[in-house]
Amino acid sequence: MLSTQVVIIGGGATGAGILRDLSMRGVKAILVERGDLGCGTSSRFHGLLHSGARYALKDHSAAVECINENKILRKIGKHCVEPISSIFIKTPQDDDEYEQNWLKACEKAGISTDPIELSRLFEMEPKLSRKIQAAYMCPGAAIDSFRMLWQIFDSATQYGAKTLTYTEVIGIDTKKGKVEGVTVVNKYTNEIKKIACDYLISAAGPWCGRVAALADMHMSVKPSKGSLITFNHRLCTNVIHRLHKPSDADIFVPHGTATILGTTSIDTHPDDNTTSQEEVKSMLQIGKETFEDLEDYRILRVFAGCRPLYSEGLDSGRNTSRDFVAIDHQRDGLEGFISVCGGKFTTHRLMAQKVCDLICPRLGNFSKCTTDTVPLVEDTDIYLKRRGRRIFPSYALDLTMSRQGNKRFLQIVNSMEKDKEKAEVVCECENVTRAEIEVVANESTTHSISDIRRRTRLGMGTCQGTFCTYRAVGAVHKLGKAWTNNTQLLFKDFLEARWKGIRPVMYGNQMKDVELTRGIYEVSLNINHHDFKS
Amino acid sequence: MDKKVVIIGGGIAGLFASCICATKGYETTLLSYGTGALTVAGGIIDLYGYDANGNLVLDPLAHIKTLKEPHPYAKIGVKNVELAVKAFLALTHNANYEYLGDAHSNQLVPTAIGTFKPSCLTPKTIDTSLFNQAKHICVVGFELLKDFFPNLVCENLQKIFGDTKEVSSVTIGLPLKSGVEYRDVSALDIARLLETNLGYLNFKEQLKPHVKEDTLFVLPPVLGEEPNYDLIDVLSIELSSNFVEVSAIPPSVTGLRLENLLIHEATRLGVDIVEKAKVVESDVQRRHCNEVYTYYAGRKKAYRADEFILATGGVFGGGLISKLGRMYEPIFNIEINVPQNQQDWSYPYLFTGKPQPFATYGIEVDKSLRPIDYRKNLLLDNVRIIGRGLAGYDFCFEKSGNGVAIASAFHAAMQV
Repeated sequence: MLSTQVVIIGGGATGAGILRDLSMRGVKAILVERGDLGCGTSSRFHGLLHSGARYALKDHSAAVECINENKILRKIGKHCVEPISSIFIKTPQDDDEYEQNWLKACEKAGISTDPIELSRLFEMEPKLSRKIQAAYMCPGAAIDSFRMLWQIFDSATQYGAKTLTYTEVIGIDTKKGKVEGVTVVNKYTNEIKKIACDYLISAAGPWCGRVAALADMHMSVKPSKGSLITFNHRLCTNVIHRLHKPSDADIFVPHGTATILGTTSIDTHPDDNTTSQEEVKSMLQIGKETFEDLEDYRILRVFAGCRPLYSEGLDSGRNTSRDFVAIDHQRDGLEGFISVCGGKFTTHRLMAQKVCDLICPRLGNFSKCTTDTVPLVEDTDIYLKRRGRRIFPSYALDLTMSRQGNKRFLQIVNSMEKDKEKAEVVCECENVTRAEIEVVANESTTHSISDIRRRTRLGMGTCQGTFCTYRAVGAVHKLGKAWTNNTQLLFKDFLEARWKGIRPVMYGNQMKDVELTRGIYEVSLNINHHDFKS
Repeated sequence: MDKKVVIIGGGIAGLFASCICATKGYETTLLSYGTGALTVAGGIIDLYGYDANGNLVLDPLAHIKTLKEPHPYAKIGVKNVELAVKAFLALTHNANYEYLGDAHSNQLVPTAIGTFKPSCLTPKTIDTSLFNQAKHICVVGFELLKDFFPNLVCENLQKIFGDTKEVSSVTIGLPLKSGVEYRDVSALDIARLLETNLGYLNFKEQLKPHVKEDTLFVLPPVLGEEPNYDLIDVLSIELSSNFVEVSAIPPSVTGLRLENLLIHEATRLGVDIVEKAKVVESDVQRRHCNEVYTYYAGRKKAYRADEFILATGGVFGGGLISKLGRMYEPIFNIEINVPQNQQDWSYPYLFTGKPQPFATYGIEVDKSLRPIDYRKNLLLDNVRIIGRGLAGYDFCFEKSGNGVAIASAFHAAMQV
């Protein structure tokens, strides 16, 4: 039987942060995740590194936490942050009084708000509506959550942490009012096993209520769904916020060549990640106040995630506090079980620190937290980069280095040097090479093309998998892994996962892409049928 | 005076219709903008592969006879579909690039993932009967060719044939330039290279050791860029083996060959092909179209005719424009009847075992392929719709894309 000091449930930002923090303090920990790392809320948001300005007026302490963590993540996770700024714009629909109070609140929280002359604003962001009346520059940025999570787990692993993906907790084992361990089942092998532990931390986000229920505990989680729209264009250079009380569809975050607009706030159940046409329409309508010709841009897809809001009262949605809570279930008579819920991606590290500060002394560990100063990955190796430059296809070099870190990058360069065909770009939209796909496919945590996608961005660009699915399946099939055998299933799984986000916005140019996808996979390759010849 | 026909759209439907119109002696003009879907979909003619329940159809023509409106085949009529197939076969025969097959049987064409798909008419480079007599199947890949995986094809074919045939694979290295400054290699590059002496000899010599008794080589579509059978004929003799190309992902070399063939034929027959001619609007009075207008480089040009044939394709080709909750044809401003709610356009799964609703959206027509409104009133008396713009069928699901294209093209051309 596996045995450890702490079991963490949930492979999102909260769980990852706690895992790394514990491991760096020398506490033995195992994290279990029922799906893939970061497949829940932590990858289903704007990818916004908050400056805190959005919360300055309503929640001073949250704003202070945001600006501090913003500075820390830019340092320790620089490969994951696109170091741009965020601009708060005031449209005619936004309240004058709010603007003045907001400026004071930002100053109090230590968040810079540099006014921008309108003429300069439209030079910087030419697509913005000319009706905008005022603009302020704040230190927000774009953050790649997939990449950051992957790096946190890599770092934690180096400190001795263990991670089990596709492993769902089906029971919490207790004895005499104390947690003794968990019972888990593996999705692929159906194998059931027990993990003994001294302490159990549930970081299951919107699923916290369900996990607590396994031990007959109550957690009042109110999942609030937020939908987001990905445009196939970089609409702005910087993050664009509306200068008003936080509301729907008031943030645009540019990521590489795309822009994400969000969100909505709808009470629902934790597994709901659907987006309705009403949500899309209403977000476009509001978004047009920021970018007037918004409807002319091609939408790539929509996606949605559930905020794990915790509320003991009747509040829901945007009225609920966005702060995090750590509930020690000792209050309900069970020792050794904490549920951590709420919070934001930007402040996940601080949440982890607070939780670890709370439980480490109980485990007899009095080490200090160091996650705020130690970078997630080591710096890029210049000599390795030079080697890579000789063989890498044009744009892929920097992207691959920051996605994969030195260790995997070395394997990738070695593989290309041995066989130049490995330098072939499989995903042209996101510049993913065959060598990179093979290295990631060989990781023990990879079980599907979607897993590769989250680690490389394969299939996340303009073609949404139309061309690269065929190539990726061809490439992984060569590796002869158990999961790469049924190629028809690999094709379908990946294309259906892409389809899910396209379906609610299948019009305009995106519909052309769907027709092309069907033309290739259904007409030319006939993946829908099995007509045996013999 | 000769009747004047203007055909809008240079895909397979427009090109084939222009050949028929020209043969009939009409003064024919083809306005094309960009290229059609032939280079995407491949130069094989799917007539009707699967019924509405997804069951394989053995005799396409017999099944077409049972189809009901609004399916375009039901409007065209089974007789005309048969005549269209015959006209297409005759055209390819006369151009020395004859197609195999007949409207009464489906062939099973191998694909680039080692499955088979039903199709009706194929070029000689995809002679599916060769699978029956082959003892050894050898899947041929090429170094540097990006979009073909011989191992994958080989393994899936072996699963299908089991013990009845021996399937292997081989990878050929050709003198192709690659590296940091070169672009990716596609099947088209290899097809061009094999048409040179250097490429051909390299290829032949490397294949030689793999020739066994009754060997069938399965290849990506690389047997030449031009619509002729020179390469396959000489290879078959010199290596005493058979060759078959697979249905692959774009760029489709087999489709390109057919496109070249149709352009040669149309030109030979005197069709005036105008390229970069984007038709943007029309002059319609009392349901009669007098002129259509192209707009290019700041200049508007009118094309007057007695009859017009619209072959601009569906959403993919730009013949139909889709918006949130709306779809329309932009040249004649024909509104397409579609659900207001985008969710009703499709099913939760893309590959779902039944036709997708959105794929069937298109222009409603009468039996002469002229557009009608939802009350069945005639909208235009001298405009005929052919190819993907037609409503009432999901060509991806039933495998009928090029079939509807040539049948509607033939039918429209015979009507004008």
